[in-house]
Amino acid sequence: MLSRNTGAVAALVATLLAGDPAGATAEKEYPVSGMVLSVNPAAKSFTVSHERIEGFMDAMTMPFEVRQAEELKALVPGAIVEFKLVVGDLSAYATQIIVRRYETVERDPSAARRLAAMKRLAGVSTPPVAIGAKVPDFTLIDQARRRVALSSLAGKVVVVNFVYTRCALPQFCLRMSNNFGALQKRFSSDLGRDVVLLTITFDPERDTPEVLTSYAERWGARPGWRFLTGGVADVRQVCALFGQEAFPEEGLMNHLLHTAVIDRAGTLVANIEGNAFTAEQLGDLVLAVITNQSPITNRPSPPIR
Amino acid sequence: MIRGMARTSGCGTGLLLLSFVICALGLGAAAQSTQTVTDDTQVTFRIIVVSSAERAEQLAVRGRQGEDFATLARAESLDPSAARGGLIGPIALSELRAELRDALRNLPAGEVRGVLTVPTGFAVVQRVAAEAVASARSTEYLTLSAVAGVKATISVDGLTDVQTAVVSLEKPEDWNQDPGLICQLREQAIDRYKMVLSRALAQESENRSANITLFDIIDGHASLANLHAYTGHMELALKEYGEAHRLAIAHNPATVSDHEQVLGVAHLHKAEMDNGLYTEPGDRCLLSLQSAAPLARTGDFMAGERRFLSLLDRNPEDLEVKWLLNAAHMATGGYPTRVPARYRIPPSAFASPEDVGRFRDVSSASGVRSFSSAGGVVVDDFDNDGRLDILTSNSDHCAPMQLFRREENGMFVDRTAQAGLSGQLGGLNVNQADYNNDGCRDVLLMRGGWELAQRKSLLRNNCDGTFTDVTAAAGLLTPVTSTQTSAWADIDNDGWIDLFVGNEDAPAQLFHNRRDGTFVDIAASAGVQRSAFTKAVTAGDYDNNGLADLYVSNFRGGNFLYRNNGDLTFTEVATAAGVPGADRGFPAWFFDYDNDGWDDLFAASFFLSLEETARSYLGLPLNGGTMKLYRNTGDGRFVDVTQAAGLAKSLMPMGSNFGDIDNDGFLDIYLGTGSPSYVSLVPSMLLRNRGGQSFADVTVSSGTGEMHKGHGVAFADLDGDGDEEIVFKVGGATPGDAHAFRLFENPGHGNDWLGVKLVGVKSNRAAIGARIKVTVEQTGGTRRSIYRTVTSGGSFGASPFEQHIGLGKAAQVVELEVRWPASGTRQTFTAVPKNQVVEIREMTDTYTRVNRQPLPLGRRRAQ
Repeated sequence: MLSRNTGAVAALVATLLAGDPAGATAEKEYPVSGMVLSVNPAAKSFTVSHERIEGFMDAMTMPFEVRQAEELKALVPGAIVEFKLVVGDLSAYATQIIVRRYETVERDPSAARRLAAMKRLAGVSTPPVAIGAKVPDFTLIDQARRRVALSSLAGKVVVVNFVYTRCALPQFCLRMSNNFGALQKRFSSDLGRDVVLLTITFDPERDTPEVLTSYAERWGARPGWRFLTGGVADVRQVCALFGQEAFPEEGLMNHLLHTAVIDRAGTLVANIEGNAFTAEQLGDLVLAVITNQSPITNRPSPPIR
Repeated sequence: MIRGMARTSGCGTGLLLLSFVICALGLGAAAQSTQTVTDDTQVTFRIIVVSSAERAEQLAVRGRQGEDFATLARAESLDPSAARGGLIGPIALSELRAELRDALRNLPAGEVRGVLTVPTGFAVVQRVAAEAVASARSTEYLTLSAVAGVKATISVDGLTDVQTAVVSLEKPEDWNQDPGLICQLREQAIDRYKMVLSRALAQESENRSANITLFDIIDGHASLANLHAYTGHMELALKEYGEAHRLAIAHNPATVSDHEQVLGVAHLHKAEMDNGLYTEPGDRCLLSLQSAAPLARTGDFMAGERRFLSLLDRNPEDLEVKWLLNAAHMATGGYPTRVPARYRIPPSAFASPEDVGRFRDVSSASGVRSFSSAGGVVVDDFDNDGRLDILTSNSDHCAPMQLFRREENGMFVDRTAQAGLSGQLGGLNVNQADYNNDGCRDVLLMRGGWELAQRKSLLRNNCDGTFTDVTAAAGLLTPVTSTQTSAWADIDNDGWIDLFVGNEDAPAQLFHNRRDGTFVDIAASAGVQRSAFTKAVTAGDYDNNGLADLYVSNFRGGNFLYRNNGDLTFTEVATAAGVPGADRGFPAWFFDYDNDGWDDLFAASFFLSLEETARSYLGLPLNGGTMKLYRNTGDGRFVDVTQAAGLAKSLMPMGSNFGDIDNDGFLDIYLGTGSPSYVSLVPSMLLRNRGGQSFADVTVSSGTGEMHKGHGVAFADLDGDGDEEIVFKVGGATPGDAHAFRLFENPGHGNDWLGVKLVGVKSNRAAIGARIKVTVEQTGGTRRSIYRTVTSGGSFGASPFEQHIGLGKAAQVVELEVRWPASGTRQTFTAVPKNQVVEIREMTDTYTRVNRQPLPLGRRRAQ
């Protein structure tokens, strides 16, 4: 099943907007959190795959309006947001939108973020590809030692994440792979044809094609979910495109978590940092890109000024 | 086999609630017993993990209604076990996450339980009857494993920030072969990053660049704060931590608690520095259950306490913060009375079951004035004047090692410069050997532990009070590795001591002594070249065949036991021998703790988790690996006796060693504990061996519970009164966490003893690897034997090669037997007088008495 609950949304919104016949209810506020799938400043709206709104509605994909287009400035597809949904008699709108990087403050990746920020502030790191820009072509090899060029995947929706196989933290690399396991299930009929999943290691010295083969087996990866490695310099360059940084610590890696979605034209639609989203939300985002519902209508500006 | 070693917990609200219940139950239980309970019950179960609680609930209902659980798992589960119908096990309950442990413990076969929160989603489980199913690889249930639930300590130390700065600095080739340059580059990197960061942060506050977010600014302040904390500038660090905290309140609320905890810890660290607790600690910093006089400068203490209290008021079950609040009061002398009752850790959690007499710190009084970072320590007689000297290393890249020579008047005097050692900067560990058989102790300084690779230094003792760095000439300079551990052993019994070196993520090295002052690495041909993140190596003859075997303790991936084949090759037998070690392997050594003539193995683990340490003291179930004690069964195998020996604790031990504090003939253990983070305020631990059966925590009664990060440990009778002092290199991993040395004088126990000094002739001259058996007759006619092997002992600390052997009460030495490694000869002496030192040369019929006058510590002897 590709979509979930979107059909129910219209009906629900209609009920909602109809308001109380008595017309006397006051405005109510509900906290909402979820992942932005698309942004449409012209219509002053954005679509979110949101979590359950307590006392109001279940988790689903739904468009929300804002009063001022300016409030959408910081939003890009893939952004994890929190906002207040104000529900009145005749209208509902989102306000106080906060872009959140993380729902948790797990200590390892927060150290990696801090170190990455330090390098950025000190001016010793290269900026990643901007949302809405074309991703430069790169070539790595997969677990069967086949060469994989990004350009050869043109016309398909490509989802990229980063792991290293020694990673033992269940919330991080394992969660990333778990997410792809869920995508593989959800898009099983399109996998390899319309949707390609690329899991790229940032530890190429240890993650050889052989190691990645057994890692792929562990996750029951089917053709269409490929695990990439390559020369140290090549892999580092690809990581830099997505802002994927890793710092050695105690024989393991302190690292960021990036998940990127590239559309059929090779444009970077989303580059999600962290693990504060569900596999379902990621799937909703991929679905939006597959069904072309997520044109880049919002040129990125620096999030939160 | 890949092992789980996660260091962070995924505390969803479900877990939080659950740990609340566990804590509440556990605290009650702790009042009765501080023994940690581990549950080794084997279970087999199926699991379904889905991403919503609702879906999980629906599946639980379907499972309960009798639908085939395996089919549901195959269709729905996101867990890698889905392909096997969700099947996991058989597996010990103790290996599972707490949620699963509790759900499965009393679940009858066939029953379904859920919904449980796990890091990857929401889970439903069904217990299945124990059946012969292939055990899943540990990686396959990693998200469900207990170690994945270990809560890592918060980092307040700046180590990673400094390392990132050093890595990104341009460095000349071979920079890591020059200790002076290593120091200089490090200082440069720190200074530069401090400057660049503060400039960038000032600029950004005026006018933000396009690629810099507000989160980056918060992180930038935290990084700058860390750099200041690293160098010990806590005032500046607090200012930056405060700024990060202020911005987080407005812009990243989810992280506020962490920022607040960091602030609390930083205040505490500053307060301890300002009050001289690190430079002149006295009895402060020692774990004590009695309130003491308040300190002078309490402002920062109170600020820290306020932070901890406010965190606890919001989350009363945060064990880590609770511990910190108690630790803060310990430092001010307010524990336990001034700790609010609801957050007080009961003194019973620390109380000693036995009184071994109180040790007294005589370090400063005896002249061992050393204020420095973590490092190793060696106690031995470097100038052959019959008095034991103390040599230390400092992990601070810009601090030299120190040699304290014991003078005739009884005082220790710093002779580093005279010995030509002032240029030997850095090095987390150091040990001694006599590699050229000239009768003078040489020194190996190991650098690069936890760090970028750096050179080692082999320091030849010139037998005239000076040392020469002969690393390059000896063939030990390259390849440059990250090294913090090595073991000296004569692997081929040719009478020349060889060197086994463990490295971090680089092949181990086995340097065969060529008898001409040079070595050749034969690790590959010997079959010991395995690459691992090695934290300890040690040598011992576990199968009593006269050949030195090797044990390797690895931070991940399991330990190695190399059985010596006698032809310069080894066979790895850790699994078959039953000594795989625990996760996060760290200190390790061979010793015969039960005096049965077979060397046993101690292998500790190092989980960077204050919470696990607290849980160990409170007797709560653990997620992290514990220390391991393996008893040698004499048939080439070992049995894990950790639980029975009372050592099932998950502490943070690095430097540690063994000795006999009460001369009862049974080897006791002292563990230096802590971590680089300033958060890890945990006491070192003295464990008394109860007759080779179990170990009792006698830390409080002995007054040896140093709360600061402890490192190198050696045991030696420094005052010649017949009992062993504990020589303890205290200090953290950063210059900002330096601390004064401790020399704990043994109060004495009235038991008898014997000192044995061996001189090899055909065997290596320092007699490393020689075996000693002392048979004594106690009052009443009971006979027993005490066994020792000549080594320097534990990890990050080296005791003298001269063996100090406790004999128990009113003992008569019936027989003293020495077995020599190279010649294979055996000497037997009868009716050896006790309470003195004897010297025995290989292949000589007689022993000589060594004339040793008592040399009191902390008092200048009258001339």
